[in-house]
Amino acid sequence: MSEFDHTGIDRLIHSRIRLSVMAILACVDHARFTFLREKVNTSDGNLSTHLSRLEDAGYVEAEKTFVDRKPLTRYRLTGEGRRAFRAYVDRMETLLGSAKEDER
Amino acid sequence: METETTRRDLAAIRALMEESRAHVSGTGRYWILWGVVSIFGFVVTWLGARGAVRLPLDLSWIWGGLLALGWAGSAWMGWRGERAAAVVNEVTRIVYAIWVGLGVVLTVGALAGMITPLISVEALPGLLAVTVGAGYLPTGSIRGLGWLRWLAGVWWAGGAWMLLRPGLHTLLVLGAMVVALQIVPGIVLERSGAPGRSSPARGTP
Repeated sequence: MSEFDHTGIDRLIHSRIRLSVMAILACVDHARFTFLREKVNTSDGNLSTHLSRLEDAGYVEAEKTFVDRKPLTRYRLTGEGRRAFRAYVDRMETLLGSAKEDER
Repeated sequence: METETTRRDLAAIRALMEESRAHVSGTGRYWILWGVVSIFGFVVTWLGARGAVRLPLDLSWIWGGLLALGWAGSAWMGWRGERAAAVVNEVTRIVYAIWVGLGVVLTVGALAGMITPLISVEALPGLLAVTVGAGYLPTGSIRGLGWLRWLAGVWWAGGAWMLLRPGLHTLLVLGAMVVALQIVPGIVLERSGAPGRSSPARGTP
């Protein structure tokens, strides 16, 4: 068996930035764009692109609001996103578990 | 090799999740607001008690107004802050619940001390300090800030001293404690709410 059997891995989540975003949102009710950008440490444009992909997949919801006339966007994980993230983590843990067995 | 990289990535992601879970948005501004409101009250009470100024209203009305102002300000900041908060999570809700609960205890205690004979007015500064300290310990523990936990001890020691040595001077001591242990830490917490640590995703697609 090769080290990794990628079958069953959600390709949409399997990118470091998207995975980081999903991981953050899985732990909070919602987070602002600026918080995500700071934690993920990437540019506005890059983060927007990744967030759009997650939104298109129905994993993430955006809510736009105004505070002191400044536009703010905050994101939250949808139920579908939460399930997909859980499944991704389970799959990765299984894969890492099998790889560990192979090493012995 | 690929397995090792994946394992490292997952460990970094786990750390990122812990950071996000422990993040608390904007409690410092409430400490600053209540600090300013209460110091104003202490100074007015002290000046009135010494006869340095003639107060136009009974002290219970002045304190009632100040407490109402504090709660109205907190409600406004809470409404605005919830929308503007960088992140809202369970930990933030727990910390807010602790302080709202303590705020109610302090408000009822202060008003009971001034309106009824049940609580001695002289004991109020000490009791207030001891109660406020009870909020610092869980806040410091939840946020992982050791210095906040130490401040709880200072509040308790100060409160105990004021209860043992009651008198008008305790208002000034409490005022100094509010500046040093509440307003200054509030400013520190507000400033620390800005840029944080980087994550494993730096520079990756």
